[in-house]
Amino acid sequence: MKIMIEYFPYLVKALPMTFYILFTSVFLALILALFLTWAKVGKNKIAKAFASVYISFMRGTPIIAQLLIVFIAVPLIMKDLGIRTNNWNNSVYAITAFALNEAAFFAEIFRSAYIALDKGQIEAGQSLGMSGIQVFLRIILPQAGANALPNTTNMTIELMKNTSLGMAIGVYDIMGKATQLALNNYGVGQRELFFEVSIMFWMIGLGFMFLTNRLVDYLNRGTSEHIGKNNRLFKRLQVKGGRV
Amino acid sequence: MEVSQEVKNEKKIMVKLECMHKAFGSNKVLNGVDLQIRKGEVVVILGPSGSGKTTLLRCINFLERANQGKVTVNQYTVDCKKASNERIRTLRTKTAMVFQQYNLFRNKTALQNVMEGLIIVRGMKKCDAKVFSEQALERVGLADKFDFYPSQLSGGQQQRVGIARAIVMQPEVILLDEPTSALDPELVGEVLGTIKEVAKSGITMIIVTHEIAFAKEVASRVIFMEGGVVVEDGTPEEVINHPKELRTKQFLSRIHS
Repeated sequence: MKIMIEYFPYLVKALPMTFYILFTSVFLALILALFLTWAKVGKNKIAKAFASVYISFMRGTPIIAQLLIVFIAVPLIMKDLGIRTNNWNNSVYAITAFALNEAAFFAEIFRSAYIALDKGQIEAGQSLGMSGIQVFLRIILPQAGANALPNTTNMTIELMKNTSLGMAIGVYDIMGKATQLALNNYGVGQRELFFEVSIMFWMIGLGFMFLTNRLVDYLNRGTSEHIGKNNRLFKRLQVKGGRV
Repeated sequence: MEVSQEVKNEKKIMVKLECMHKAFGSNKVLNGVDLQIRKGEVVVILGPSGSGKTTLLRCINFLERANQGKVTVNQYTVDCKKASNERIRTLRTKTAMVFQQYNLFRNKTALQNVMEGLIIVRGMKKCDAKVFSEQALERVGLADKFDFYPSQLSGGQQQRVGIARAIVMQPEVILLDEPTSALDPELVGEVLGTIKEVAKSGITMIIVTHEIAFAKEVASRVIFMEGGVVVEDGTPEEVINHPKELRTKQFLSRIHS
């Protein structure tokens, strides 16, 4: 226990790196995933084929391999483009690799969330004279977003754990930090150390899940399953903010 | 003198369909429909399933894009072949549709459903939109359901929200696509009553339905379609009570029995 308290400040110092990599790559992945989803559900055959190949590659190869490929290939490409990468931080490669990988999984989640929608609503929006983008922002996104949120959070937690793989290219998150500490101390207290790291990951994951559940409750306030399950919360929301 | 008379007549025509053709793959659904509907007419389209009546309705507001033909609503003409998105949207703002499956926005309350078009498409202020929307919902008898989500409403209530959503836009013409087909028999009455009430206000309506008795009561004109063409066209008295065409007679006798 004493060892755990002793190590804690060192590990906390590595937390920003975990979050930095996590949030930056999730943000980029979300944007990329929207395009991939659009390609997958859209009518453009070339875009669809490209997205399918991309997604199957990203899902079918180990993330560590993707990380190393990005780490090796990006500097070469940049060199061809005449951009010097010598002073780039290695976290750039980690973020790139994680974002590219995550986007594929997000896209699959978004696609199924979109498919689950009642499409008549899209026609209803169109028949009122709404533009495609208005229908998307006002009708599709709020509902598909609510559908997609739980799985998106799962994937985000998955990625949070995977940030430890950054170690392979010298990017140290809390897991990497713990490994370093353990090596520096010749393995003294490494049991406690890794246990502590696990607890930290677990707690962060629980935090994400808690926030997601609250958000899903709010977004799903109109659906029947939700009203049955969470009647009290629903009524409270209605009293507070249900009226426009 | 003659010309001005013609212009005057022309003005009264609210919906004009010219030579509408539509095929899904090799299945030809509309085979050249020509139709003129005057302002204030309540037109009921009858016909067996697969006769193209729903497709015709959906082609008017371009939810289905006809392969060929012209749609004119209140003198605004859109050619189906070369219509731009911009023109289609303008045309759609002149029409409103009530769907068989209601198609309410499931993430919005009844009131928000009705307000959506006013705010987003008409650019109306929220407080104004709310006043109009509440009036519309009161008109369809849902004054006590403003804050209910679609999942909390019965089918009949949902469909009445759908009707409120359509009338609040004050369209030139309301298109109703089998508005009672998805309802339990005991809920049909309330929706038909609402439609009847709306029809009284003098708005132009095109209704696809299988409710013959309702058609007789509310329609000022009945059109019988089959095989993607208009077979018979006249007053309810003419088409329903004294049909001339053999196909119309067969259809009506089957429905009545």
